[in-house]
Amino acid sequence: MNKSEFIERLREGLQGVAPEERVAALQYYTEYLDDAGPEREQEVLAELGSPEEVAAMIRAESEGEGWTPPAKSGEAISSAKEGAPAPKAPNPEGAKDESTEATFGMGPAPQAPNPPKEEPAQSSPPPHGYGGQTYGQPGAAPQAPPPPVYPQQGQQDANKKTAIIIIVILLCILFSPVIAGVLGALAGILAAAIAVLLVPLIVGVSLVAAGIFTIVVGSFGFGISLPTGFVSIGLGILILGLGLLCSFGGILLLVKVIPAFFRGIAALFRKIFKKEKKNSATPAE
Amino acid sequence: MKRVTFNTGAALLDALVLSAVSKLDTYGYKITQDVREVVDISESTLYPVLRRLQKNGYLAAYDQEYAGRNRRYYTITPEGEKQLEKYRKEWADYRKKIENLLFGGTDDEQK
Repeated sequence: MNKSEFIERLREGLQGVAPEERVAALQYYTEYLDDAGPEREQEVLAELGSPEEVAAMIRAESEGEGWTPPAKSGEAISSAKEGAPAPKAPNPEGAKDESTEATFGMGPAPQAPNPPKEEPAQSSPPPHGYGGQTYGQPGAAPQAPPPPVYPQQGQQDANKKTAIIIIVILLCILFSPVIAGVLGALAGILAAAIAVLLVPLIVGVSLVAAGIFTIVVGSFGFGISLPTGFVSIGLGILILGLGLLCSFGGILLLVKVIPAFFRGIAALFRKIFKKEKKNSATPAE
Repeated sequence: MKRVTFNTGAALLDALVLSAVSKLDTYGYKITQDVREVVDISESTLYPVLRRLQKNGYLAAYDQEYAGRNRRYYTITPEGEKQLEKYRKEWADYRKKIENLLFGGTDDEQK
């Protein structure tokens, strides 16, 4: 169990307690564990006992309000002080406020049961009213039961973490075909786009070649007749011109459009990889 | 550190906490550790005590930042001071009686 788990379970344990009481208790224990620091955290948690026990203690305190039954303690004081050398102090006290009537005489009662027996009139009330109830159990109980609980919890924590890691890895493996498929499709689209862009250039180059060929072939036309030769050469020059025009257009297109296109693609990939950064496969191209 | 084993009474804890706070405004963890120097209490014992002392008006609390987080400090009120004085007198009285018992006081003195 760690600090936040303890606080969480304490929060649950304090359900039904007055809200301000809850807030105060949670704040106290949060700060307490912060002050204990990481190196003492486990030790303190073990000593605090289970959050449920701590919650029960707070509950008892806030519900009981009067942790000291006033009537009894009044008796206790007056009887305890009867023969004592200083009767002045306790009397006004017993009358004034209930909560402070507890005298030190009540504390030791649970631990030292022998002296009371020798003086039954004086000290028998204290054991019932005080130490036994309020402090006897919280002092002793929290220390014994918790230790066996914590190692198990620590293991559970570790197991949870391992399970999460395994699931993430499995998901990555499971989805790797999908990711590969998406990448392949994108590569295909890219290739098609490039091909489309290359068309004018290819057409232009072909036309230039055809024009030159026509001129060369047309020059043989002079052998047949003068007009045939002129027509053939003229046609060839026309085709050549068209081809050059097309080629320049195509080159211009490639020079201007392709870089922009690549920039767009790069941006797209960046977006995709921001979304699913688990897989770091490099983008095709 | 030597711990007294027979004094986990509520009144004693109240007195010790009041005394610790009366010297210097301080916070829950520190108070607990200081009291634990002399009395065998668990880490969770003092929260109800602090709460009760606050409700009775003997202690007041205020929040102050420490190392980037909040820490609740306790300070003693005038009523708290009075109460502490009472506890001190009672303790002296109580100690006398205990010593009488432990170190050979006569029976008459007890009654």
